[in-house]
Amino acid sequence: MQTGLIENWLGNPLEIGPMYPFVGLEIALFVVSFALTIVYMIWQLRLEARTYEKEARALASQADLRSTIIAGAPQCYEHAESLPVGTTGDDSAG
Amino acid sequence: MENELTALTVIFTEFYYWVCIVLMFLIHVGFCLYEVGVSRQKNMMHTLMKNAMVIPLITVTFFFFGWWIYFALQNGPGITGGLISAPFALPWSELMGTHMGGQPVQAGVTPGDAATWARLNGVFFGAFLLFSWTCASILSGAVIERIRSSAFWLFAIMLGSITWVVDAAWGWSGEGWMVRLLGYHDAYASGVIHAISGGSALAVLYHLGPRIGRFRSDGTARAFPPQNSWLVIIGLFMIYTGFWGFYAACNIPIIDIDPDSARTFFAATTIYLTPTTLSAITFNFLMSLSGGLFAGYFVSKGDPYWTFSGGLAGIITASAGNDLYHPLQALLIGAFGVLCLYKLHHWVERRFKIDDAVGAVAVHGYAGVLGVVIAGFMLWGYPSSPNPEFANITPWGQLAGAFIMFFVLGFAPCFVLGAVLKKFDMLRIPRAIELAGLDHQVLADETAAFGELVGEELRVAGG
Repeated sequence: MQTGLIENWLGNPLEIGPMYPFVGLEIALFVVSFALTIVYMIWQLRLEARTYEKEARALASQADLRSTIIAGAPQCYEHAESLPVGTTGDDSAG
Repeated sequence: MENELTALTVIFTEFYYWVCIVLMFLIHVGFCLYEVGVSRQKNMMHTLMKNAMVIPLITVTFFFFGWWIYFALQNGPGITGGLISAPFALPWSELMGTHMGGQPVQAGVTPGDAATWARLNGVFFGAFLLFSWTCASILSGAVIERIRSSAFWLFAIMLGSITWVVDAAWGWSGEGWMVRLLGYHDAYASGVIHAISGGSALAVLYHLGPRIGRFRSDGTARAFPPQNSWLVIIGLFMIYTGFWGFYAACNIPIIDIDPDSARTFFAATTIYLTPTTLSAITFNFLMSLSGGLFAGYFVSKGDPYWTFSGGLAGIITASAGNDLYHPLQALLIGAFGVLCLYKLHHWVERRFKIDDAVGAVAVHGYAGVLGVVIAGFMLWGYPSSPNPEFANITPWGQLAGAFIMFFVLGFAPCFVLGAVLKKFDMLRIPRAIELAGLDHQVLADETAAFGELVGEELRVAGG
C-alpha cells in the first residue's frame, strides 16, 4: 500500500513534485469541500433565521418594551427601574 | 534552487511573507477587540463571533476562487486581453499542496510554474488572504449590533474573496489593466483595500439603517459610547502593529530590478515592480501615522477614539504614494486626510442618517479615496511600472481609479446584494432582539444560573 508518490528521500530533490497523499484526487476533494461549504452556509442561515424567529416570539410576549429590554439582559440595566414604563422607542430612526 | 543565491532569495522571500502574515494576523485581533469594545454589553459575544467566523469563511472561499481571480482577471477580462491562465492558483492544483518544485504531474502545470510557485504559493496566498480578512473586518465594524450574521458573511465573502481580489487584479498587480491604461498607483492599498471596503460599508449601511435609538426624532445623533474604551484603544494599537506587516507584505522583498541588462541589482519593489526600500516606507509609515494622530487630536479636541482612528486614517491617506513620498509629505498628507474625513463623516451622518458604528466609511473609505487622488497630483508624471508602454501616473488616472475602487467595485455590488437581502428580510435582526440585545439569551441564562445558585446557597445557609 502506498498513498503517495514518494518512495524514498534519497533521490534527486529536483525531481520531487507533489508530496501529499492521494495525488490525482484533487478535483474530487475540491467538489466535496465546496459542497460542504455551501451546505454549511445554508445550515447556518436557516439556524439563525429559526433562532431569531423563536427569540423574537418569546420577547414579544413581554408586556411592554421596558420589560422586553430588561428581561433580555438584566445585568446590562443596573438602573432599569429608572426606565419609563411603556416606552415605545418610536423616536428612533431605525 | 540550483545555486546558493537562488536558494537564499527564494527562502528569504518565503520567510519574509510568512513573518508578514503573522504580523498581519494582529490586524484581525485588533479589529475584534475594537468592535467588541465599541459594541454595547448586550451585543458583545455576537459581535465577536460575527468577525471571528470571517476567518474560516474567507479563507476557504479565497482558496476556492479568490486566489485564481487575482491572476486570471488582470486584463479585465476584455479590456487589455482575455482571461489569463493560472493553473498554479486553481484550488485543485498540485502547486496549492506540498511540493518541492520538481516535475509536475498535472496537465497544464509547467516545470516553470512548479519551480516558481512550489515555495511561494502558500505565503503569497496567505498575505493576500490576510488583506481579504482586513476588508471584511472593516465592513464588520460599521454594521455591528443590527446585521444578521449570515447576511454579513455573504457580504464578507463577496468583498473578501471576489470584489477586492478583482480590484487587486486590475489595479494592484504588475500587469493589471488599470496600471497599464490609467497609470494607477496605489502602493500600500489606499484604494484597493480601504476605499473599496469603505464603499462597501456605505452601501450596506444605506440598506441596513441606523441602530434603534441612534437618531432622535429631530434628526440629531445620540451618542452610543464604547462600553470599553480600553479594548477600543488596544484594538487600534494592535491594528497599527499589524499594519507594519501589511506594509511589508505589499512589497516584493528582493528581486533583480535590472533583469534586461548584464548587471544585477537586487532591491525591494512595490507590487508594480517599481523600486522602493523598507527604509523609505518605515519613515513614511511613522510620519503619516504621526500626521494622522496630530490631526485627529486637533480636530476632535483630544477625543481618544478619533485621535487613534486619526492615526490609522493618516497612514491610509498617505499609503497610495508612501513608496515615493518624502516623510514630511507623508506627515502633511496624513494630517490633511484626517481633517477632511472627520468633517465629511459628521456631515454624512447628519445629512443621510448613516450610523457607522466605528467610522469605517470615513477612516477607510474617504481616507482611501483621498489617498489615491492625492497620489495622482503628488506623483504626476512618474512611471507607474518598469514597463515603458504603461501609462504614467496622472490625477485623472487616479481619480478614475478611486471611483472604480469606491463606487464600481465597493459600493455597487454591496448595494445590489443589500437590496436583495433586504427584500427577503434577511438583512437585519428582528426589532425585539435588537432592543433586548443579541446576547440576551446568554445573559438571561447567566442571570438564571446565578439566581439558582443564590437560591441554593440561601437554602443551605437556612438549614
